[in-house]
Amino acid sequence: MKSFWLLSLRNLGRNRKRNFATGSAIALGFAGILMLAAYQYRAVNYARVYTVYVVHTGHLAIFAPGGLEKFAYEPLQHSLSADDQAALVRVLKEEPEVERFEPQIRGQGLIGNGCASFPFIAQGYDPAADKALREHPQVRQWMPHFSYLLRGRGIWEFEENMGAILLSQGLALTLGKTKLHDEVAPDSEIRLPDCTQGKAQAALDANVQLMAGAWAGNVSAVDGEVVGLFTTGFQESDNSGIVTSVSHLQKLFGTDRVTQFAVWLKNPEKITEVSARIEANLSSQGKTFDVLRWDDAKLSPYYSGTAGFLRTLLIAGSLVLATIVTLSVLNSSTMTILERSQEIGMYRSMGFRRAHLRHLYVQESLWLSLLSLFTGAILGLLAIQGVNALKILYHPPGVAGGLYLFLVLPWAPAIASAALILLLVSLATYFAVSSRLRPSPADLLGGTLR
Amino acid sequence: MRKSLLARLAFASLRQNWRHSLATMLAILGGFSAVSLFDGFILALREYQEEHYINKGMVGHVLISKKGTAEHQFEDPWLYSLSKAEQEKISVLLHADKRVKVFMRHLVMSGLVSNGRTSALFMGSGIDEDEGLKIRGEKWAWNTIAGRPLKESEDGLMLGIGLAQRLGCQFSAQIRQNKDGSYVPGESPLQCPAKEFQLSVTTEHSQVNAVSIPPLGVADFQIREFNDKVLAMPLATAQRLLDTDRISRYSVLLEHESQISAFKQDFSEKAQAAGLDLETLAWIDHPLAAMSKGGGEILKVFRGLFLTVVAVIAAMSVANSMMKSINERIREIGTLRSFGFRKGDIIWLFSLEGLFLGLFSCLGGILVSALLAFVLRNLGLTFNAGVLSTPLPLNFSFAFRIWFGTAAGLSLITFCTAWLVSRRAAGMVIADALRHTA
Amino acid sequence: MITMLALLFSIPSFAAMPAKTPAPAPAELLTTSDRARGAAQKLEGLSWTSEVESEEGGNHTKIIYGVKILRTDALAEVKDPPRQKGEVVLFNDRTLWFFKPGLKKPVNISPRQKLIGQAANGDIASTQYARDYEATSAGEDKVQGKDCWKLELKAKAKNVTYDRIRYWVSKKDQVAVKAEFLTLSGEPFKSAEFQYNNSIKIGGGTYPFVSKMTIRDAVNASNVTTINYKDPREETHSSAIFNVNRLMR
Repeated sequence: MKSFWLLSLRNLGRNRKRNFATGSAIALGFAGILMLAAYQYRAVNYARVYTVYVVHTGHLAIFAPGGLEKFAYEPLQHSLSADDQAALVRVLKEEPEVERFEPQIRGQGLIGNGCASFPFIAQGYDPAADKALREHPQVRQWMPHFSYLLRGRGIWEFEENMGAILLSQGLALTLGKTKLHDEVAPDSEIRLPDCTQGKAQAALDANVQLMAGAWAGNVSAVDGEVVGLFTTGFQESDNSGIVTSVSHLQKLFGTDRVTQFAVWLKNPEKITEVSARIEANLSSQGKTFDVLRWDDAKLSPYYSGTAGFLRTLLIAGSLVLATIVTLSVLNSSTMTILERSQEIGMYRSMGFRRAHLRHLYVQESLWLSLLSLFTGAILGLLAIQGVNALKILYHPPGVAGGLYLFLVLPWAPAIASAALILLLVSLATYFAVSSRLRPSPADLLGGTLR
Repeated sequence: MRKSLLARLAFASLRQNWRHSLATMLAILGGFSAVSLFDGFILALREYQEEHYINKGMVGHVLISKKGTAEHQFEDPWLYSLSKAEQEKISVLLHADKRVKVFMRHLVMSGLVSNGRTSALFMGSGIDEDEGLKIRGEKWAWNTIAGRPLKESEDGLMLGIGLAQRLGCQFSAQIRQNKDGSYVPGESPLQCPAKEFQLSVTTEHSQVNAVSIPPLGVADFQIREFNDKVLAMPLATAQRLLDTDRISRYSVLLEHESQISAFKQDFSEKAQAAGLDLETLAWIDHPLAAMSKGGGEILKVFRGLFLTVVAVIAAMSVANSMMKSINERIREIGTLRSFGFRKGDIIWLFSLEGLFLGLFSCLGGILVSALLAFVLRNLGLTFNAGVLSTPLPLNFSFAFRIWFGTAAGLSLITFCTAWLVSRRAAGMVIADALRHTA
Repeated sequence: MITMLALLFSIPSFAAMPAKTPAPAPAELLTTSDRARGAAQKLEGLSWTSEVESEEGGNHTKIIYGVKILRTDALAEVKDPPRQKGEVVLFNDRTLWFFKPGLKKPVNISPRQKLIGQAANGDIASTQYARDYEATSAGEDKVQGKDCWKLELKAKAKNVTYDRIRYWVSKKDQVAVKAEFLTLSGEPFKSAEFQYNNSIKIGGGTYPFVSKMTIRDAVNASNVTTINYKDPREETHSSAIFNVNRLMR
């Protein structure tokens, strides 16, 4: 059998042009699949990292029962109490698979510059978690060009009691808050602006007031210091979004409760078991919460929609490419066999059985495929590098300023598709050869069968 | 040598050797069909979006509003609304433009809606329902999934699905749809906890106003977030609620989508001459449509990658098959040469054969695509896309223009490939060619 | 939420003099109550304590304010609960400011924002009917067992929150017993009932003064706010304390 492998390898050299053309089809088809896969892999991972880390969803989001839907209307009834939080902290600290967790608070109100006030929607984060997430290896890997802040510094860089706030860029324009904390003289006095002078007065300092209905029903307000500007990529939130610390919003809403807990895992693949364990440990403490996975359509509709759609596209695209490659191989194998009918007749008359010949030709195809796949892999990688170097800008939904078309190859699907191609090519050759092995050696030798 | 003779010869030779080219043709056909089907899918998606924004969503082709609306509306919506006098001038201009099929007015607002027990924040829109009906067209005349559509002369609310649920309305989740996705007309049960919902708002003059309006229908406003807070009502109701005669914007439906940019330009000039300070926006540039625009770009990237690979594989398959064909027919080449065919003629002959090979494969591909598109669109499959509230129908359009364009492109590639591979054989000395054994 | 703020300024419509003659002209009745306020406007100031209890969407709150009034300006400072102590709401005519100790600037709330949702309560309390409304007679009625004149009030201009008010004024004391606040479209939006167990001495005379006001939502009947008025008195206020710049000091 070993000699068959060598023989088939040598046979490859016999019709270089045809093998080159066939090999090119395989190589290019494979390179195409690699590029599609690289695009899908990158896009889905971008969406994943954006969802899990950038917008602080976490791998698991834990709400008071019904909190996801009802918190906005009845915050007091559908939030996590101090006691709930203590139980959560105990359970989460004990869980070895938890990388990090964060209490979060959401809410809305009016933000004022001393002259006028506008509605805001606030996200309260733990500053340390915010910092860690911006610098998370996953964010660095998948969103290397992502810059969280358009200007300024993150809330973690400032003392907790200063009330550091990040404003969405549209809201900053509306408020006339063009100066950030770092750009205002540290000892400058904060005065009530002369509101007849327009927005220029608002830019004298970086101080704003947040006012909201506290959860207990009274009115409350806190100072804020604008330390940075960000953009969300979505028009609505770009005109009203603010980010600040959990403690700052708790002060504003006059509560020690929080909206939800976000939990990040060391190994997200263990999410099902970790989630079950956390729920079990919580219930042993007498607590029942809603534990949602990050890819739950209710929690992350944008991710679940995008990822599902891209996956479908990739599978459909790869199948079609594989089919074209197979047809192309079937084509060239048929031609090869046709040309070599006399040779087959000779082998047969020498006592080779049909199975031997099938082996010989399938092995030939395998050699060709392996070489082509190798070439295709190199081509694909080069193409990926090329596309990445071109810095093509495109505009996926919700990404401010667009995104560079940047491809990253996933190895497992690449190897799987290579295996699939090998299988298809072998099958194609097998069938092409089988149909030509039926005639008698004499007919084949006569060379009349074409 | 006359090209028509060469073409006839090439065609005859292809017909004679069709068996040899079959796999090549299948490969091209398969690849072409796949790309074409994908194009059909993209087109269907685009048509779907166009239809749902322009027609069903009553966005129209062009939006007209006060200058600065897009950027500053957030600060003070009233500052960026259109007065009665401005509306009159705009209406005159729109009536005078032959390209304008129909136009309608929108007045947007926000406030609180209550059923007596539960309240919810809403984003509302008052619309010229009669004109809206014309923009929606026959297909979307019935635009509610429960209850019934609005009527211009009658107070009534059309609520987003989520908002209706929050306010305790009961209706069947089963939407009665026609094959083309439109709703089966006919009132379906809608039971809300109150006969009328009270809407309270702050008027243009900062007075408080509230109007009780019966909920008439439930509609799918497409984006999940919207469905939780959007409602619509006739413009007269909205203006009474807000105690104003102002409106937020116009939606203009043109005779044809291709007129958008010319219309925008002309209208802006005329409006300026009439002393109006307006901004015009093509529907695709509206923030509402921005999401689908981004989605479309992703699809185009995919399609580009895909087409490139298919084109190269087609070229290689043709090269493969032509090389074999030429190799087998070197004696024939010799014979032809001895008849007086020049080298260029031979190259033309094979190139035309390559062209026909590509062309027939692609034509076959168009047939296959059309057939597959027809079958697939009738299977009633759906898929989820991003933030949309309901799964999109998996639909494929007959993108004949694009298909024929791609077919022409691919055939040109196969032509060039054949031209490249036939050059050497054509250049052989006649005697050598005649002696050649395959 | 913002509901609470403006509630404080319920400048009570107390009558300047007890009525003896029957059926005064509607305008005159309003002028009478206007005079009651007008007297307050001509004074160097009024003060009282308000206990505001509110039941909204299942939430119960109670806050006690010290209220100071001078002409169209009003200032209310939270006395209780302790964690809100020192919070100030300032009403410069129709402009509303909120301030609390430690805040670097007061927050301005425009009339439009103040009215978001349930916030419209404030103007029920603060509207100066004589100045803002045209009154017409709508017959007689009995409310809380008292014989009343019923008035229809229509806003003179669009700068007041409610376009129309149905107003019941007791024949005996010429004090408002009940009010229904209608929206532009004529729908009832809120209603209020008043009790007068307080009295106040002004310029040597003693007049009845509102002791309790109960405000109900017309649609969400479970939303109820009551204001108890205590210790009303004439007091001299400097106009400086109503200057927003002073809040920051």
